[in-house]
Amino acid sequence: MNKIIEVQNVSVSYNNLKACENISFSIDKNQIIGIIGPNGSGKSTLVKAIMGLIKIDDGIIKIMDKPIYKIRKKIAYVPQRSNIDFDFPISVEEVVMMGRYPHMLWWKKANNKDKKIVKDSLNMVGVYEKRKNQIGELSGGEQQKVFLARALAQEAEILFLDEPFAGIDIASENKIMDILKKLKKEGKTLFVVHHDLNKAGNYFDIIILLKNKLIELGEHDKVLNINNLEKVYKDKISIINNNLMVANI
Amino acid sequence: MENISFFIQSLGKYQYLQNAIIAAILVGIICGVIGCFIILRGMALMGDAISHAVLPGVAIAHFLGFSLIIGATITGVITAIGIGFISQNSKIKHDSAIGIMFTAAFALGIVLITANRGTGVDLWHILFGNVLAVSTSDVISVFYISLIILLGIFMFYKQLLISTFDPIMAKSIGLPTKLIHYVLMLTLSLVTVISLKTVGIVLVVAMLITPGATAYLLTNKLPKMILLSSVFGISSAIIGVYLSFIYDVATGASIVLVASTIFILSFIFSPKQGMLKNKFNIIKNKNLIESSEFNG
Repeated sequence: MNKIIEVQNVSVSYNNLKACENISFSIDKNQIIGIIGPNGSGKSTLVKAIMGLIKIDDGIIKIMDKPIYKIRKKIAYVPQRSNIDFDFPISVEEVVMMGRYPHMLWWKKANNKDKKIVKDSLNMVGVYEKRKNQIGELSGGEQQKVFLARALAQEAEILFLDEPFAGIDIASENKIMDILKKLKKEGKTLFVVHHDLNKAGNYFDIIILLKNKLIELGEHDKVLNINNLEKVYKDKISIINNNLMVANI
Repeated sequence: MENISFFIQSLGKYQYLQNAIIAAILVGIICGVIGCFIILRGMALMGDAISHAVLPGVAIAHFLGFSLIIGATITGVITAIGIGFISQNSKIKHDSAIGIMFTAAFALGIVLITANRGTGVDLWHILFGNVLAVSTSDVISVFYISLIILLGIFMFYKQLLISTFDPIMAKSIGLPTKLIHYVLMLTLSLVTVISLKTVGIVLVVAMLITPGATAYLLTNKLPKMILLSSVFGISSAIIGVYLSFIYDVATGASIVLVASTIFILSFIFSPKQGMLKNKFNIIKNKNLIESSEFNG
């Protein structure tokens, strides 16, 4: 079984507006997949549908050959930073411990194994020294790493990252990308919702280009051609020195 | 000092005063604890709404002679469901839905009570509390309800924490986030009922929000915030009952004013986020910049 995710004829709508229309694809495991498209193109909706957070109108979604509700533990979610309240009275360590919750019985507290896994996850992303800090005291890049560490602590097979590079500096972006590549080496499959096309080439093995429908799926060169991009971004693209450029939206 | 010893003597003498202060302390604890979650979930307005929405249930329970607790939770939860239904099924925003639903429920309660004058239900007492009427059996039921709520929070702490901090992750690992929301609304209705006689419907939201907000300014750790919040709830209760006894003013309002005073003190003096600290930092930074300009 190599196909880790199979999406067949999936449609999702909000208030009669189709956010995703008849989308089908399947993905091999052990890759970094970029989900790319402009605002309102149904990226987040598709991710939410795969993760079983919203109802789909139509279609079938299978993860490791199973329906989502049988396999929730295996899927971790790394939220967009703007969706998190960084004034929340919680420490870095406690956030990462949340990754262990799906593995704990509902009334039980963390045991030594949980604590060890949290420690290892913090070390892996390099924020162990800040473990006692309140999360708002960290930089944007560090905060993103904390949520990555939480996904690691969950021991998930599939990670969904929502705009992980939004609002962080380029050094942190590179470090986070290094971590993602390392995770791929360990056999994980990573989905990254991303709006910046300009870097998509180096970052992703497979790109899913969306504009409410699936425009194209495949490797960088196959997907990011002028035809596809015109369909998706209309007049926001230009070609500079033989490189496709898309105005940041 | 004279006042305090007079208060303590009276406390020994009068059963009603003992009941009042025990009930107030329990309300202080339970509101303080629940209030932390209400604040962190950004549901202060919802807390206000549910406490008001309890009124028609209380009125009906009074007339028909069944338990206030049942009446209150029914109308409280129906209102919460109504708010959710309106905001999910129309373009009305959540806060507007809250405004529509709770005022409707509250108005219904007032109409029911004023239509049945002479049945011994005093609107004033329900709205603003009547601490003299706290009976021993009231204290006992307040105690048991508080105990159950506290146990529930203790047992489901993880689930409450994650659904408050990151509802999307909570949902993605399969937690019933909607159920958690409605259980919390049910708890709010219960908390309102047990606070009915001490602070009353109108002011109970202050006991939910103010001690928790005070604690929020003072700490970065949730368990500490919960502890501090209930400490502030307890101190407001004791000092408030004392002041209302000595100066013969309404007890609920007196408790709330004490809580507000503690909040203002912490707002000004909080070592982490207080106004003074911020002012001090600005002056310090200014001096640093000036001195470095001199050096440079």
